Amino acid sequence: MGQIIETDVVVIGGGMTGAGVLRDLALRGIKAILVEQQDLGHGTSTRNHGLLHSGARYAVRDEEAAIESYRENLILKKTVPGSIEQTGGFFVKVPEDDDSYIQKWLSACAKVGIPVEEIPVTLALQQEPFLNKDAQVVYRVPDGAVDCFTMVVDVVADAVNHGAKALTYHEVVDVITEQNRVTGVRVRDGFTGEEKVILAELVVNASGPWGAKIAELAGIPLRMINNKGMLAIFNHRINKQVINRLRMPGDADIFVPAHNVTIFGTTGINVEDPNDFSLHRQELEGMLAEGKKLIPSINELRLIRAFSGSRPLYQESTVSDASGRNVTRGIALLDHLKRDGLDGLVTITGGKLTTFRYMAERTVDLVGEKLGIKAACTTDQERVPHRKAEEFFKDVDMAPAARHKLSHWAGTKAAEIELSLKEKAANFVVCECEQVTWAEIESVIPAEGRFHLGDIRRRTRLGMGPCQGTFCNHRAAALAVEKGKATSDEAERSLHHAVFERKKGMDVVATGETAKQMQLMDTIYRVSLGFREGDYQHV
Amino acid sequence: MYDVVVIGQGLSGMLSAIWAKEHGYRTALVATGSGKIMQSTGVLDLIPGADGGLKEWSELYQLAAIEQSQLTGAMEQFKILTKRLGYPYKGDIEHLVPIVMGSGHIKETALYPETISPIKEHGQVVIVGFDEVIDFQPAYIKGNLQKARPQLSIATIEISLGKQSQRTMTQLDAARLLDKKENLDYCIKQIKQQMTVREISQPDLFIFPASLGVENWKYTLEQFTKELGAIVTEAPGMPPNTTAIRLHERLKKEAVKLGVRFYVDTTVVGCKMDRAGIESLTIKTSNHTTDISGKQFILATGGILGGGLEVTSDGVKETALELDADENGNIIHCPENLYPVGASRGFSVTHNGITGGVYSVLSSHEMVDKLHQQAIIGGIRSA
Ligand SMILES: Cc1cc2nc3c(=O)[nH]c(=O)nc-3n(C[C@H](O)[C@H](O)[C@H](O)COP(=O)(O)OP(=O)(O)OC[C@H]3O[C@@H](n4cnc5c(N)ncnc54)[C@H](O)[C@@H]3O)c2cc1C
Repeated sequence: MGQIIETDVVVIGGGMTGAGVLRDLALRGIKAILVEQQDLGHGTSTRNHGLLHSGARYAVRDEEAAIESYRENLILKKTVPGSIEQTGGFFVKVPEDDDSYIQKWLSACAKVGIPVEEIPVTLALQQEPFLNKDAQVVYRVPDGAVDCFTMVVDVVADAVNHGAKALTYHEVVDVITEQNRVTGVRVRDGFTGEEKVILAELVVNASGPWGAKIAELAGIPLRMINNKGMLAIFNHRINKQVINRLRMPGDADIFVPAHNVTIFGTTGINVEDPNDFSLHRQELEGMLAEGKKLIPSINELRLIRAFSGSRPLYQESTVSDASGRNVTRGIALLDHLKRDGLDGLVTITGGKLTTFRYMAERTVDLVGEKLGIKAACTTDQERVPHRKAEEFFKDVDMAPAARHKLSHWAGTKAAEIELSLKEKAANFVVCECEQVTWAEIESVIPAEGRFHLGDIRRRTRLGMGPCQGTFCNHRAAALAVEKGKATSDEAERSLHHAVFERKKGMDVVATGETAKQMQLMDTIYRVSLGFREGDYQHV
Repeated sequence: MYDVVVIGQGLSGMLSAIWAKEHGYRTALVATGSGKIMQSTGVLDLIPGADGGLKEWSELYQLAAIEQSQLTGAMEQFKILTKRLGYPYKGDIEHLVPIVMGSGHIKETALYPETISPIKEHGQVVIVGFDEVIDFQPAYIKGNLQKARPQLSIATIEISLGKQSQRTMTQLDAARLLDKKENLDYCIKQIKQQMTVREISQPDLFIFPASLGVENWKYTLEQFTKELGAIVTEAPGMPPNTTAIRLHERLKKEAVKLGVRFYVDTTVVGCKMDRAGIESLTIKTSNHTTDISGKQFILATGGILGGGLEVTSDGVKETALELDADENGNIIHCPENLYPVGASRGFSVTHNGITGGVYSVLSSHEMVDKLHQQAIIGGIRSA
């Protein structure tokens, strides 16, 4: 048997929920290790809409969710400012929408305390020129936009900074139980295949859509509904603020701005397999037809890719509902000692990205109770370091756009990146769409190596622009070999994986320019660079 | 009134125009972009991005007997033409050769310019990179090449392009610098120095990015070969590849010299039809729209990548003349006097986005020939 590690708490899942739990544990001084089967945010936490809910969407149907959302919305704007853009949001009624909903919605928002302000339609149209000219009523709410890539990375980094540990590419393959007690987990290192045992007083299952699988490893039944939603990305940002339909929540009725693009969605279909990220053209067509009601020119806009993720919805009973929308999105915190007679295991699931902090707070309250630790939660006050780094990069010789990006992005890594920009020939731009320099790429490659373009993309936005990595993925991989950051095998495997992943997301939206871009990617990799379909094991 | 109007200036369009003109037709060429040749590697493949010889190729492309019978002739014509242009191609469609790419991977190709030499199984090679050329990284190339050629002994050298260079440059930028003797000499000096200091033994082959000069490639190649005492090859990779640019520039110059009328930065926005077919094209430049009439029209606007075909949510469209196409990109009800060449012939002749150089050459050659037959029958020959 391999290495044995001991700790107090093991957190399974490097999504937003697990990240929040890890940070809360660390801030309360509880020793903890987070294990994630792939990279941070592999699951739903980077496969969502990125809307920082104001609660307005849920006000009519789920008051509790609305209350939690609004409260957390205010807290997160304060505590994770580097990952949130305070865009504000519109709720727009178009002629198709039911008139009677407005009153219900207004009074529900008032009851919860969500500030709602009516905006003259003409003014709204000035601010959002893509909006339907036939809009009848527009209200403004305090919605925001979350960068879920940076948020999950930053929250974990801050936890690590406070003494926690995080192991990515470590999949839990077994939950170790002794009689009626969970004593730890067995994990497998995805890069080396090596297995390790982590012993702990308590295990927190924060594995989102994979929750039932982890429960199964512990020998207990857990019923999850994985409700898959599709999202599509436009090649530029068409709206300043979030745009919602003012109606009972349905499909394809939200447009969320994200940096330079807009994300549009979504749908809801129940799936069995948490690894089901499939995308269907028909589903997209349906979305576009519906989205047209808010944004009439939607079919003329260019989509660069689509993706999907599953909402992990906990269901105590077995009544099934195909749309998944009528199952509560409420938070489920399960004490398996009370529920199943199994000690040492807690499951936290359901909820939303917006409520991750609160979910973590409740979880760690329970953990503390079980471990007899009294420390209080401080995550509603303690800030995660901001991403701004405007005092840096002023006298570095580099492209102005790349400097601009870094000064809003580098955060706690600013000093390190600045030094490397000055010292080595690392100031050139590798990814032109997102202005990523080699210095920045280097700063996110882990010390132990493990070169992975996907990990780099999630941390730097490399390859996220309109060309979807056609040029920069190869460049980054070649440079990594050149600079001793990757072996040529690692570079090759990672490139194949990256190109394959990007194409999957492009294929379903591949008309017009995107169809062209996809062919260019094929031509360059297959013809110009001579890549062949290899049987590369994707980590 | 032209005898032949070619739409598109990729390899297929350019060759069609040149050959049509050589047949004595009054020829015009209309083009918006610069053609996908700018993104190509400048070598002529059979099946792009895949292995396979003549047999597999003709099956895959469903070549008709008539096309096959013209193959040798077309390749000969292409070689004669490129020789005349001062940028000769060599190679043989029956015996593909392995060449190394800017990634270190090896691909098989049919025809290639003189700046390229095939890669062997054994021996010593040195890969030379320029600090400034970000898309050609010697150590990375070495890794991939070593896997494909385990018996090669490979060394790498990094040099700088000198004072006139910028932080990051493309292969083409570097090539323009190497057109100048002082830069060339400076590079040779650095290579020799490193060879001595690092005691690198004399190789059989030096591998460079596709940067060995644009205008003066012959002199650059000769100097490197002579001074370094070994065969020198370019390894094309991430566009722009000078191997392709040289061909493009020379073809264009030749077409102009022959008297092909060029309508550049001009978009075909439609056409007027009569019962016999297309009467004239409606063309648009930045500030005005006019018609140009012709007897025969060659459509060389490319496939999806070239922009000649577009995937829309309700099917495939031909973009220049707005003709309907089926789901395989074949034009439905093609006017009688319109001749699609290269990737304009639909998806069955494109692989990994392009048709491959050999097919482009063949289809242009065959089309001009067919058009010639038609012209004789129809009695519209102008000469
Ligand atoms: C389409 C869609 C749109 C959404 N939009 C929004 C929105 O706009 N705003 C909002 O607030 N919320 C939104 N949500 C909800 C929100 O994204 C989720 O509630 C949240 O991300 C769930 O986070 P999580 O950490 O619980 O799960 P996940 O992010 O899925 O994390 C679970 C992690 O566990 C890991 N894991 C699984 N099995 C193992 C194992 N055996 N070993 C180790 N690790 C394992 C997984 O790899 C994964 O990374 C949306 C959801 C969907 C599906």
